[in-house]
Order: sequence, then C-alpha cells, then structure tokens
Amino acid sequence: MPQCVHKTVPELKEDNIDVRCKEGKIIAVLKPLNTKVLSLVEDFAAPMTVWRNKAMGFFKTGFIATTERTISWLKNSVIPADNKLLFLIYVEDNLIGHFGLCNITSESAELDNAIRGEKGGKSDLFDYVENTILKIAFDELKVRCIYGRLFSNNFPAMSLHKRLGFIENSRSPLKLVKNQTEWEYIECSPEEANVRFQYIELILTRDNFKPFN
Amino acid sequence: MDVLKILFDSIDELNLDLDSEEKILKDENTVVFGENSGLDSIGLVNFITIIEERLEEETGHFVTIADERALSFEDSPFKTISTLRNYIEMLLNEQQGV
Repeated sequence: MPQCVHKTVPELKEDNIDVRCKEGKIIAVLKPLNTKVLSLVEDFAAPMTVWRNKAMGFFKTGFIATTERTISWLKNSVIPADNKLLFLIYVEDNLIGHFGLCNITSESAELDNAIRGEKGGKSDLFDYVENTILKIAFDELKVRCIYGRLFSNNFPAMSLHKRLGFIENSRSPLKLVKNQTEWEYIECSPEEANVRFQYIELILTRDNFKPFN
Repeated sequence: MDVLKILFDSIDELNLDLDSEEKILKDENTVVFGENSGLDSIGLVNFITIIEERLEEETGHFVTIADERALSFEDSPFKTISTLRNYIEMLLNEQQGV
C-alpha cells in the first residue's frame, strides 16, 4: 500500500482529483477553487447562485443568494482561506455541483457545502464524491475525525453519511428566526423549538470510516 | 385511512413545483429513493415533508417518517411508493396500538 504524504490545504488546492467508482473507473473530477480560477469565478458563480437558492432550506443560515454575493463569498471567503476547501464537481466537463471541507485543523475537518445542482453522471455519484473527500481528509490532511452537521429531515444525506460510518454525536432542537431577507435556525431548548426537525452533529473517526472503494 | 391516496395527493402537490420532465408518476412502482429515482435530495425531503403534513391533517398527530429507525432498515422504506406505503401503514398501526 503506498504511503500517503501529509498535504496542506494550499497544496490540496493545486491539483484536480479524480473520483472513482467501486470498479475504479473515473466518474467525475473534483476541481479545487484556487487563485488560478479567480478570473473564471464569474462564469460559475451564476449556476452556483441558482443551486444555493434551491438548497437554502438545508442551511442553518439562509438568505437570498445573488451572483454578486456568491462572487464575493468565493473571492473573499473560499479561495484565500487556508482552513477551507471547495471542489467543483465536473462530469465529462460539465459542472454539476460542489462539495468541500471547512474548519480544517490539524485534528479535524467538517463536510461543507454539498450541493448537486445539475443532473448528470451516475445516480450514486455523490456517494463517491463524499467518499473521495473523506479519503483526502484522512489520508492527506491526516485529520483524526470529520464532522457532518445537518438537519434531521435531510435523510438522503444522513443515509449516505451513515453508510460511510458517521455516528450521531449530538442532536439539538431548533428555533427559526426570520427577518425580511434572512433567516436562521438557532439551537435552543426543546420548549423553545418551533420546527419539527433537529440539528444533528455526526462524527466520523478513521477507525469507523467504511470507504466504498 | 387510504395511505396510497395520501401519497398520490402528495405527488400532485410536489409536481406543482417540478418542471414537466421532472414530474413523478403516480404509480406504486415509482422509485422514490436510490438508483432510478427522478427526485434529487431537495425533492425527496420536500416530498416527505408534504406527506408528513398530510398525515398530520388526516390523523391529528405528527408522524415522523424519515428518522433513525427508517434509515436502519436494510431495505429502505423509501425505495418505492409501495414500500413507503407499507412503512407508513406500519407506523400508523403502531401509533394506534394495533
């Protein structure tokens, strides 16, 4: 078995990564957002904005995304960050979504911003995308554990995380607080909860990881 | 209670928000979750939410369909409309102490 070398976040932002299915065939390519793509940000910010608005119900903090806001987020919060990786997912040169890691430290990382915005590729493509990202985190970033935070009603994501070995670490009731353009789900006591679903933190350790390939 | 009718009514409601090529068929064999499902994650979660709301209207009780237990089955209860109906009927029977 080849010895994996520890890589830093900036190093991982340099190269594309193949996503392989169980049989070893390349089914997608992960392209990291880095300074080399700064001039192209405006091209993919538009579809990303559409996806973000469609998926906003899965995020703890919600707002109306605009292309300008997405560009600013990519340029200022994603690309220069040394604790965050965001990969664009390409299937046969078509951009179909993104997936990443945030809050990366020497000890841990957190799954972040998983959105399949377009149809295309295998139906279980995201299973292998997540599988690949978890391998990067364990084998190259060498973290000891990975967190997944999501709403309890997001059962497709929950199902995938659990098949890969995540276990529930905590569960909190939620209170939805809204103003005209933004909203936030705040962790609260059971008495204060005003939505049916909860906020779940899952955790995956190296020992519990059940890779698909 | 006619659970299949609730599921079909829920499909009608869900389809209102879907483009014509994305609309899902009112058929017991329609695949809901997994390979060959026409629904993406967002569609799936919306569909389950609609069903839970309709069940609450019918029964007066909130029935959680997608929870830890549902995910623990080796054969997913969300696989098709038919398996989902069976699972919901089981939940309702349990709730009624049958």
